[in-house]
Amino acid sequence: MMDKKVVFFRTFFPALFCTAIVFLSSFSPTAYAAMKDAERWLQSEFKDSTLSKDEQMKEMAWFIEAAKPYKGMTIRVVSERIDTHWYEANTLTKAFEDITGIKVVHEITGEDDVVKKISTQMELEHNIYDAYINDSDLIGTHYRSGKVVAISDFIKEEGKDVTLPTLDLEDFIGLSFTTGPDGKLYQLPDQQFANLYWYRHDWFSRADLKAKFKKIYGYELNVPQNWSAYEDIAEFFTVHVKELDGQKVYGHMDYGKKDPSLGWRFSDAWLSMAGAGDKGIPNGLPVDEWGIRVDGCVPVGASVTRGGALNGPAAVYSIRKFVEWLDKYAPPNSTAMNFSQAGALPGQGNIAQQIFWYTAFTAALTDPKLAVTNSDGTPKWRMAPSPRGPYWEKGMKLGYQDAGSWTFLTSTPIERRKAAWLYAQFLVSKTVSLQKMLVGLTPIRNSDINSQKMTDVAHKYGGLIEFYRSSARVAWTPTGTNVPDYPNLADLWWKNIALAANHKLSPQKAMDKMAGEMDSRLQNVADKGQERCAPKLNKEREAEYWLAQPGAPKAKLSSEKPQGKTLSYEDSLKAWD
Amino acid sequence: MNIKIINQKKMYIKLMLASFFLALTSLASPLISTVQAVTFDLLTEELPPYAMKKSGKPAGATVEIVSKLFERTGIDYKVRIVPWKRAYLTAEEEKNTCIFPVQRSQEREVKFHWVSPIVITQTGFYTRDDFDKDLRTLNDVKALKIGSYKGSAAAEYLHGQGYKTALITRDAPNIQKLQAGRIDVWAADTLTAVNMMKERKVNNVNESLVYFTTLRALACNLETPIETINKLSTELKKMYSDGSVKKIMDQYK
Repeated sequence: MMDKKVVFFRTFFPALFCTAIVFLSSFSPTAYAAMKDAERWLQSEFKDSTLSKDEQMKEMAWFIEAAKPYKGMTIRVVSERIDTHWYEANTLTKAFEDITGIKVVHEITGEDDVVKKISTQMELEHNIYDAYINDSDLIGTHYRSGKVVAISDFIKEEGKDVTLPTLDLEDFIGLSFTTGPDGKLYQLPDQQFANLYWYRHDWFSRADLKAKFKKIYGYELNVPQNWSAYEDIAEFFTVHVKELDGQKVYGHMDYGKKDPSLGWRFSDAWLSMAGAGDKGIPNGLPVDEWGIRVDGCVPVGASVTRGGALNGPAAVYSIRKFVEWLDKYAPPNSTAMNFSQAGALPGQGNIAQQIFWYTAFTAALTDPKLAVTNSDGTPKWRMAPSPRGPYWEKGMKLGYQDAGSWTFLTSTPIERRKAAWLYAQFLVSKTVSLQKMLVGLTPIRNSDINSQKMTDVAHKYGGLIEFYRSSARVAWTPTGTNVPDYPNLADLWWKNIALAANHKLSPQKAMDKMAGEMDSRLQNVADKGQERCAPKLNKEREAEYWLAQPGAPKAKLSSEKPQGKTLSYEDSLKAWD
Repeated sequence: MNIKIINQKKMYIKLMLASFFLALTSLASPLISTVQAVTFDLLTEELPPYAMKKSGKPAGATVEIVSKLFERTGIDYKVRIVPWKRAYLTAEEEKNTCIFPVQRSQEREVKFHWVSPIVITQTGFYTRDDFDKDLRTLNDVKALKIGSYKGSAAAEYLHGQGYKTALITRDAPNIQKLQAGRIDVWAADTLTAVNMMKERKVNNVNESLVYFTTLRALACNLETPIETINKLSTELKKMYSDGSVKKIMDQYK
């Protein structure tokens, strides 16, 4: 029997050699050098891919050819400050430049600054950046502005020659977030992360704590399925357990400082976790999780008296619970903390659970130096689908998912836009995307999530991969198309919720004030004019009329605290099947 | 026509005119007094070529933009160049006061009303002719000695990203430090850097990487009526679309 290597050599080597010669000789010397660069990057950086090496090389050959007219150009893009984007800015720009000859300055800043910059460019029609990676929460703004390029049109028309044949849009998990009511795709997801329930799996597994919990509350200490159970567990750790291993422990963590970061805590779907909106995926219709009602695609109001749900019983309940839990169960001074200050606390090892936790912190919370990480780097904590408030019903969205997405403006000159589109596609291409997911843990493609590589490493990430593979994922979505002008409406959240968090107004009064202001702002947006689907407020009528209609705004429940319910971690994921 | 009649007519016309002007003055006086009562104090710091004193008077790119904006909006103003800290605190505490050009941030957002952007600036890394490294991304300067000056946007941004910088109180000596090899890289505003080098006839320092873009605004005291802010914002947009901002900026490039 001949040696396998010999068979391979005699049978395939001549064919491979000839193919390689034909492949390489079809390139000019510069293209040949670019292919060598591509090969070097594939070997050093993009070893993990759902594509074979040959398929990766073909994808790179396409980039080299398509980028030729733009070689030597410098383009400028901007995104928010998370690990995925740092990797893009510091590493992937170099790979892209080496392979295509297009230089990219990928600026990193806060998301608020990204929003200000994109709003400024839209307002002034003055090109500041050639592309933005902007949260898909602005989809309602972009769709209505008439100033954002519809990608689905662009790739069929002027961008056809620079659209990657292997882009495989169907493989993206977040396209429904970035599609307008007209069915057109306005943004392309570059990275995604969710907001989930976070808990100390090691503490929840302790027999002594389980027995104590069951004795007090009558059910298992496990992953809470509803807000009643979350509240019971919060009370259990803060009031009954008090101390573990010699240190004070708390059953809840949150923040309440009057600061723009308080806004995300609520605009990122807090009301839908309580069940304030209507059924509908990715967002409730006709009333979404901002409490804004639409008629077709036209926003008609946020106040209950106009058919909205922003100051309805479910919304007010959600704020009341936020304030109550912050006061009773979170560490002292949490009310005076902002997002960044509060974000550091779970890692210090005395927080048992957190109802509102961004998975973008996964990598940071697996640092072996932290008290919440085992010595082998595996986490002592887990993430699981968030508990649901009493107003929540099947068919509604539950939590929030951030989808930082490529956004192109009509004010960017076409050649610059095409070069930027090449860079955008490189960053989400199958050659690059799996490695990018391993670095930043912000998945965008089904193929990456279901890859063998992610199965191999899933145990390191506290349930992130399991969540993204579960049916639960679809109920975690960004802000949707009911919000007609995100930058001009978003500040109402932190300015008003802070009044409730700091006991300056009751939750009902704070939400009444906010709903009134939201209606006024919607009117301002209408007065200023939008290209399409501008707000047109409903006339006010008695709240009872709207509360008696099916769906949101929902009437107050007779009991807002049903029996607490928990499930094991595994069953908490299966519950969404 | 006899002279008497002519004189009577003249007298009549004079009386008519006098009463017309009287009426006009009485109508206009509340308006005039309102405009006179609100003279905005516009504060900035010495930061050539954005703001500096020329023949004892405030001049510079942003001073010109802001002056033109207030003139076009018909609001009285006075520009003063004062130390930045004082300017900032005054604008925070005293009504009818604004400060420029300020970078908007989450911390500052709540403290002012904003008219933005007065100017769009960029910060870059500058190196000597004989610098042999290729600066392609921000990460490439991580191990290098970066020079900047205290309170600068360049330094603030780098600190925010965890970079160490050697800071001095004024920016200009960084050029000498770079030339003497005491720093590897100078992080500076691109317009300021070009102007400083031109003034000092420096020709062995080059721009290596422009790494950040900043929108700079006019930040006004919170008691400023929102109508005034809207009026200024609308006019500023017009200044961008009709090329007025570009025309001013081009003079300083």
